[in-house]
Amino acid sequence: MQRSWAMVGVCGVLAVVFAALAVFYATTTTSFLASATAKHTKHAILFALLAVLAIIAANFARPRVEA
Amino acid sequence: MSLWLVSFLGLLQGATELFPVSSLGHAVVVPLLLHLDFDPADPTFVPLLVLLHLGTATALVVLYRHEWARMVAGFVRAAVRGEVRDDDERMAMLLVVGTIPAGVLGVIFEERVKSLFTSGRPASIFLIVNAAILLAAEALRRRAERRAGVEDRSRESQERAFGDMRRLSLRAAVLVGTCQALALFPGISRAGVTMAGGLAAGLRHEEAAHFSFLLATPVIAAAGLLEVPQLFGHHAPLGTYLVGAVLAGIAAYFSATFLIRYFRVGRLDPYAYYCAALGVAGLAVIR
Repeated sequence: MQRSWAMVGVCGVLAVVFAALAVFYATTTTSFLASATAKHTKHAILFALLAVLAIIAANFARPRVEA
Repeated sequence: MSLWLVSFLGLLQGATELFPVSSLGHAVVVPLLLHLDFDPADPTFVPLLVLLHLGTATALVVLYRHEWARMVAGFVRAAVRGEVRDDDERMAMLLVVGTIPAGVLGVIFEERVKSLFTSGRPASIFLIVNAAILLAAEALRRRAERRAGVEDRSRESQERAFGDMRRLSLRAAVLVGTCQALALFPGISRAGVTMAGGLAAGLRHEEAAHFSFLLATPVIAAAGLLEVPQLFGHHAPLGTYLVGAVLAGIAAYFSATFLIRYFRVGRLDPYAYYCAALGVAGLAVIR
């Protein structure tokens, strides 16, 4: 993965979007990206995991400080 | 549902989940061909599917427990450090990026695809498509063997001309993981398409099968664990279903050990012919 602060920013924004979607699916009855109108716990778990992975990706993208 | 039927379905699920022949396709087509007396749309059938998935995933975790322990530790180390330093950390990252496409597509599209294709005829057609995918993967591999100049050698030395899963690129892992999402269609085998993807990425057959089983474990486990609440509230005979889950686990364990040994020199062709035959039989018999 390319290391740059810009990439860290992209991963950070993705993490926030995924976290917001996780909260949305956990709290709202919706049919957005789903088969039926209901609360979609699986979607909430998926987006929470994606938010964690985006934070990990941001850590991978962080430029190294040479000692 | 009788104990015998549950046991049969457990063995069928455990064996066909890892063979490149589609467990979902078999779960739809075989009961119709054998005129088994149960309704897959019955709500009490859902807890059985959940337990069968958990049984299969448990078998895979037990079989590869040392590898999983090293990879989980490697994932945590690499995630905290922000850098991959050894093979276990690299394998963990390959599996994570390979699992994301199937996880995302599975959660978003699973219900819609299932509702469209759970009857016997579409599953039969997809079994034939699965056969075509397996044959195409082997045709590409034979061409790669000719290009590498090993087509006249023994199968062992042919296989030695190809790679190890630890050398797989992140892009190839994403590609193989995306192939896994095709298994949402009943009749398309998760193991088959991921093995085909692995072969296309230049892996040896044995390594492609090994990577396929590792890649399948989180998805199968999640498919079971996320549905655990479904175990309760349907008045299902959980004791009987547990027998099916144990049998699914035993079948999966022996299937995986057999397949890893088989693919040291074996190819996908026999499974392709089997899928094609079952698909044709399904189309001929199921109305």
